Amino acid sequence: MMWQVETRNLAMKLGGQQILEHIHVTAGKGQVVGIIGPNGSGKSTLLKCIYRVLQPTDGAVYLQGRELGQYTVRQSAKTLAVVAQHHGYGFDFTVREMVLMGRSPYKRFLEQDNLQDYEIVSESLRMVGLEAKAERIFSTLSGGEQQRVILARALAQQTPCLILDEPTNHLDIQFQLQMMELIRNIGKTVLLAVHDLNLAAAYCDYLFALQDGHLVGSGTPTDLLTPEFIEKVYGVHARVGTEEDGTPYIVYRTARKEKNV
Amino acid sequence: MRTLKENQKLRMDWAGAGVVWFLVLLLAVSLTAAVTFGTMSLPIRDVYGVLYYKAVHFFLGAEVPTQWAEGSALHDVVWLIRLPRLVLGAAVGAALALCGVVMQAIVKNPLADPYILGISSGASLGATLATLFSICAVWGTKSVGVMAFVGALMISCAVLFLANLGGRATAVKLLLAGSALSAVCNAFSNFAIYLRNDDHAPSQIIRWTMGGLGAANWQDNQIFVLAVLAGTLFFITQCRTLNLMLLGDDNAVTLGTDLHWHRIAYLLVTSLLIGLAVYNAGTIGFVGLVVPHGVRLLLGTDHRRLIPVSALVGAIFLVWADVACRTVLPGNEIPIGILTSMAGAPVFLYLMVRHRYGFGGSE
Repeated sequence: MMWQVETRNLAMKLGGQQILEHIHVTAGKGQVVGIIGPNGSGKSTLLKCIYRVLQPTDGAVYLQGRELGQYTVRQSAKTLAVVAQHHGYGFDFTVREMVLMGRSPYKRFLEQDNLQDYEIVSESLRMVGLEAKAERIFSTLSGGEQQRVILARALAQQTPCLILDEPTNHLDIQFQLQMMELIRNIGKTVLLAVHDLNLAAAYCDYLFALQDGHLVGSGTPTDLLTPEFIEKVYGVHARVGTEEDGTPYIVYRTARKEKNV
Repeated sequence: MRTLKENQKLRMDWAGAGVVWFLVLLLAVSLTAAVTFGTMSLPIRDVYGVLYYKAVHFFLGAEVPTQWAEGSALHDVVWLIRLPRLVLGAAVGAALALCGVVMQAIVKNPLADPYILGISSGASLGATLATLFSICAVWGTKSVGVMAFVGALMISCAVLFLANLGGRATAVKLLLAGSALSAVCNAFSNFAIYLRNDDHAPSQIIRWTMGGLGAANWQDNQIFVLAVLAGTLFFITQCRTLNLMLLGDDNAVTLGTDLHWHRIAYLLVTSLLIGLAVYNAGTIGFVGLVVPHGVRLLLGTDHRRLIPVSALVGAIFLVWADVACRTVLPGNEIPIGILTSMAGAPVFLYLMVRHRYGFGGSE
C-alpha cells in the first residue's frame, strides 16, 4: 500500500484573496518532503488544506490515491497526524493527558484507555525525550517542550503520514536537530513546512518552493537550492557550499539592496 | 509489562471512582441530614424512620403502623414538605454545575456559567411570557417549561453567535454578549410584568428571578431528577469529546472528531436542563462557575473526573446552601438565588481579576 500524500491542482481563496493556485505537491512513501518559501507564501494554508481544517476552493487532496473527502474524519486521523503551529491553550491538561488524546481516533463509543494506550503514550514521550515530565501541566512547559508534546501526541496516533507546520519554531538548536533527526528516521511519509533552508537541505529528500501562492520550484535540495534560486525567492544573496557527505549548506551574505536605502 | 508510572496511573483511575462513590454517599447523608433543619428541628432518627416506612410501603406494599406512617405530622413534614425541596435543590445544583462544565468546554473559557451568559435569564423570560400571556398554550400546563427551554436555547445560540462575530470568541466578548443579553431578557421580563399588572402572577415570577426551592413537589421533581440523571450520564459518555473541545476545532479534526454536531447537541441538552432548572427553581447564579472551578483545582481538567464529580458536588453544595437559607435568619427564608449570588459573585470577580486563569490549578 502506498502511503502517498498528494495535492492535485489545489487552489484556495480566503476573504476574496487568492492564497494558493495550481498547487501540485507529492510526498511518496517514507519520503521526507519539505515545503519552503518566505512568510506569507501560503505554506500553512496549503498544509491546512491537507489536514482538513480548510476546504480547498478548487482541486483536491489525495491520500494513497483516494480523495480526502471520501475518508471520514476519524479515518483520516488514523492516516495523517498533525503538528500544527499552536498558540497558547487556556486550559491545564497534564502532558500525559495531552498525549493520550492522540489515541482518540482509535476509541469507540465509551471505550476506556487501556494499558496498551498508556504504553504507546510512554513510548511517544520517550521518543521526544519528555518522559520525565509526563505529570507536568502542559501550559507550564516552555514553548519548545510544548512543541515536543504535540509531536508526541502525533506519534501516539500511530499514523503512516505526518504533517508538520514549522516544527522547529521555538526550539533550541539542539532540539531543532534532534527533532529533524527524529522525523528523518521515523519511517513515515512526512510533509513539513520549513523555514530554515539549512535544515531543509540536511533532512529533506525533496523540496517544493512556494512564493505568493504559486509553486515556483521543486527538486532535491542539491538541485533546487542554488544561489540564484534563493535570491529569486527570498531576496537575499547567499553562498551555497557542500558538506563532505554531499549535503548542501547555505550561508547568507546580504539582503538584496532596495533602491534608495 | 507495566511500568511503575502506569501502575500509578491505573491506581489514579480507581481513586477517581472512589471519589465518585464517596460523593454519592455524602449526597445521601447530606439529603437526610438536611431534613432535620427547619422551623421545627427533627431528630435524624425520625427522618430515617419515615424513609424506612416509605421503602417498606413501596417495595413490599405492606402497611406498617408506626408514628411515621402516612397521615402523621412527621410523615408530612419529612416527606411532603422538606424532602421534595431538598431533592429539587440537589437536582438543580447538579444540573447547574454540569451545564457550567459543558458550557465552559463549548466556549473554551472557564468563566462561562448559565447565569453569567444570560441563559438563565432567557429561560426566565420564556417562563414569564408563558405564564402571563399563555403563549404556547397548546402544550397545556407544560407550556411554561417548554417556553423556559426555548428561551434558554435562543440565548445560548445568541451568545455563541455574538461572541464569534468578527473572529474567535474571547473572554471579554463572551462576557459582554452574556451580560447584554441578560439585561435585555430581564428588561423584557419586567416589561411584561408591568404590562400585565397582575396580582396573582408576581409571586411566581419573583421566584423565577430570585430563585427559590419553595414550590417543590414530587411530581415535577420526578421529571427533573430523571432529566438530570440522563443528562449526567449523557455527558459522561461524551468526556473524550469534551476534552477535545478544549483544544479547539482544528485540533479536534486532526484527532478524528468533528465538533460541529456535538456542539449543537450539547447546547440542546444544556438548554433543556437549564430550562427545567429555571422552571422549577428560578435563576440560581454562579453554581455553574464556582463548583467546576473548585473541582478542577483538586482533580484537574480531565472531563472523565470533572463531569461526575462536579454534578455531585453541585448537588451537595445546593442542599447545604438551602439549609443556610432557611436557618440564617430565624423565622425567615432567604431566596437561594440571592445567597448563591452573594457568595458566588465575589469568586467570579476574583477569577476575572487574576492575571492568568487556566482550566485548573497549575499555579
